[in-house]
Amino acid sequence: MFKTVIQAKKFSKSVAIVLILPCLLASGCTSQENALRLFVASSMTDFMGQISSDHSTTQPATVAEINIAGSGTLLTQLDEGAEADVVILAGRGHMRRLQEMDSFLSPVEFASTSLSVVVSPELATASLSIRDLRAGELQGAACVISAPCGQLAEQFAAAKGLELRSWSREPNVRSVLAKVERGEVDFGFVYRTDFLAAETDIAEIADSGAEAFTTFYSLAVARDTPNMTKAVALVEFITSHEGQSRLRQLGFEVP
Amino acid sequence: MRARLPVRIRLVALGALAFIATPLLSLLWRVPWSRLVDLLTRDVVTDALLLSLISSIAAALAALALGIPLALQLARMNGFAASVVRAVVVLPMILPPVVGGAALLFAFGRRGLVGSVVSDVTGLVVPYTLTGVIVANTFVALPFVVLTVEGALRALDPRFELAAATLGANEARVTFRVVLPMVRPALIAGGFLGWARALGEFGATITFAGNIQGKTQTLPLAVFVALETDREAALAMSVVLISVSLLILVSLRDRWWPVR
Amino acid sequence: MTDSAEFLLDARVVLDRGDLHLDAELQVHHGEVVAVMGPNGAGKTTLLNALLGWLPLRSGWILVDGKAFETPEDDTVTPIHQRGLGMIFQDGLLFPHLKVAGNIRFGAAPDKDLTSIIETLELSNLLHKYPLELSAGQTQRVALARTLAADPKMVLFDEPLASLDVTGRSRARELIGAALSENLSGALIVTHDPADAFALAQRVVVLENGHISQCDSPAAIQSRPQSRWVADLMGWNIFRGVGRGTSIVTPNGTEITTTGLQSDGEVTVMINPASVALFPERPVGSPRNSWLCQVRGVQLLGDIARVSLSGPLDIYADITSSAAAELVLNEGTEIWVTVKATEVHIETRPSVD
Repeated sequence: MFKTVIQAKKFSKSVAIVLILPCLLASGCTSQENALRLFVASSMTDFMGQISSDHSTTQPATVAEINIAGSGTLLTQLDEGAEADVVILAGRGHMRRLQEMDSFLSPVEFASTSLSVVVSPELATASLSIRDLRAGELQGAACVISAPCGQLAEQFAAAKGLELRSWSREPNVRSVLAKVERGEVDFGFVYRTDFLAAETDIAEIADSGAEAFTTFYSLAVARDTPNMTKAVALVEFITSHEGQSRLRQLGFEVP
Repeated sequence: MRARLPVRIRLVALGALAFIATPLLSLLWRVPWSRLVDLLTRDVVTDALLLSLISSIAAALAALALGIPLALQLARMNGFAASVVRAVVVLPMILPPVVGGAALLFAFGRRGLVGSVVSDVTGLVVPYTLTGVIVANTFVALPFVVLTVEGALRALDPRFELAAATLGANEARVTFRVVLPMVRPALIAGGFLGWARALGEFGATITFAGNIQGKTQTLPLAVFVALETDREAALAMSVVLISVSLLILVSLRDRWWPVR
Repeated sequence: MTDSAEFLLDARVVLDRGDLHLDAELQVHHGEVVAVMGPNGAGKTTLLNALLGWLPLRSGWILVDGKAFETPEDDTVTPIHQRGLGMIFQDGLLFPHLKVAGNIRFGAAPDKDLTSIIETLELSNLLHKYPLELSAGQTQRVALARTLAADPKMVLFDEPLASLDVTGRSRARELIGAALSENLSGALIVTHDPADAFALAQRVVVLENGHISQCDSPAAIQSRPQSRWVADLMGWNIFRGVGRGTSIVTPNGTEITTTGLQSDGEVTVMINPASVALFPERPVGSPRNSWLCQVRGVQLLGDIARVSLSGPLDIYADITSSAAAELVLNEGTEIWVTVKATEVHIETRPSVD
């Protein structure tokens, strides 16, 4: 098969690479063996970003692998075999689904936020009310139903008699926020915390009644995680005084 | 009889085919066949299918209408100018579709360079409409048409145009009665490649035209949404996408692929 | 009202294309067929392309039937499709997506009657076929029909018979001749085959390295070639040597006597095989050029015998077959070869190597 020794050596080298590479890529062989694997709902992006880049605190999120996506997407990934040590989800329904998987310990609820109806900077000064949204001339956006924000928006629409057929459904709440901020849509359904985090001059519709629609955030630790100490340390931090005050600063409600 | 290929090559070829076929077969294996009809008659599916067909065909036609003249021009250009034009044309193929969609927003969106002027003057807004879907699809389909047709045009002996001219044909007659008929296979191939690309487009559509059921939610978008909440509907729609594409590609046999 | 022009085509084409500098002036009378001959790279196709308008002139003029198509000084250029010049390409260039009938009809006026053209070129049972299905000879006939159907003022041919085999060529020549004589407009035929020139043309223009070296009737070209290339084409003997007094001396020392004083430099000598005489014994009398040679071979070409000889000169002699029989020429036979000094031609227009 091989004409020279050199050919044989080259072949074995390429075989070796082909066999080892998948192993390296598989999570089991990563060099970051001890880093915490976190799955985080996208509406917790800011909070997670804060605590993971702050090295003055003593919690393991600073050396963690963080995966951020809509809660529904995270569940799908876990369903298909992705591995996580700690999972933070939005919405009680989603956490129930996680519990059905039976590989996580009991969840801890640690924050909540409510729905907010925001309008684009161009319309910010127009003092719009829910009635104006009913008229159907404005373009709206909300999350897909698999995201809790989207579910809340639909509940809100049902309660207030809004026609939601013409809304653009975005994969996650940050996407809705971005479109409202850029003026690509006239209004959108986001969380109060997203509204507070916005950097442009979007406005919130006052007295909309959206505050009544709330999403609860909980976290759960994987039953068989090899990083139990780290996981527990993170949970303790989030539920501690410091963690809770940071959440409050961002606009979350804490129990 | 042509000599057979070496075993090593044949094995890799088989592996490559398996690599493509396996995910498709796995998809089909998970489809709830018994409930298929029920799933397919749902609103969300029929809306998406209709939108996909209308927008992809419209986009293919638009890509041909815009792409053929561009290809004719490009085939006559040489040197640096030609390289620049060709690079620009190929860009939508290389850019991630989401980037393409964002770029379309910055150009034709409500506050876009062109879009803001248009909406101020006429009140027309392109995003979040069927037009927006067609624009996004045309944007990604156009390079396929231009490259396929330009390649065929360059392969043509330029003396055919000379022959036609000596017989009294002016530029229009030469183009429509000689040049274009001679590259007909490439026109068809380009149209179908563009159509296939438009049918599967996701990133540019969702970014530029939004995701509105019944208005801009094409099959790929509907599958994306359904994947998390209603897995079976997602699978059913995937089957539809695959079947429709296969049906058309196979029924054309080799007429859609520029084989000599 | 202007008189009809004196010439069908009156042109001077001056242009540069790569290494070639083309400067050729020629006229074609009404009803005349002119052959353009020359070595590869001489600019024959370039000349045709310039006349058609495919290549721009640097200077010069093109007048067809009195109308100016191109005068670079005025910047007026008539586009190709308005010139009325038909073109037959070496490979036909029939439109593959049209049937033969469609090809023929392509440039014809809608009401034009094409039956006579189709019949003259014997195409009646090919009309429904596609160009892919035709032989080389059929392709060229269709190409000619297509061109004639468009009523051109003049037809240009670019090596029309080059892709045909020998038998196909003679038949095609007949048909082309017939078609041309029916349509008396006039034609320019680029060819490298003297048989084409003799069969179809009244005049031959020799183009070498971008310039016209000779312009005469085919018979005159054959009997008085002025360049080595033409002589070689016509089958003449060609030698190179150095001038010395009234002789030329070849590299192996053989002297060829001529009638005039030769310059001292390198010279090319051309001798018509028909002027070479063979004698069994040394002849007495005028010929100063006599050499004893050996017969290498004899080739019978109709009633001419071409005798190949070697010795002080390697030379061919064309004699009648009866003369050859009388001389008893076997391989190795020794024989005297003579050429009159008056029959020794010196190249006046040097060909390019």
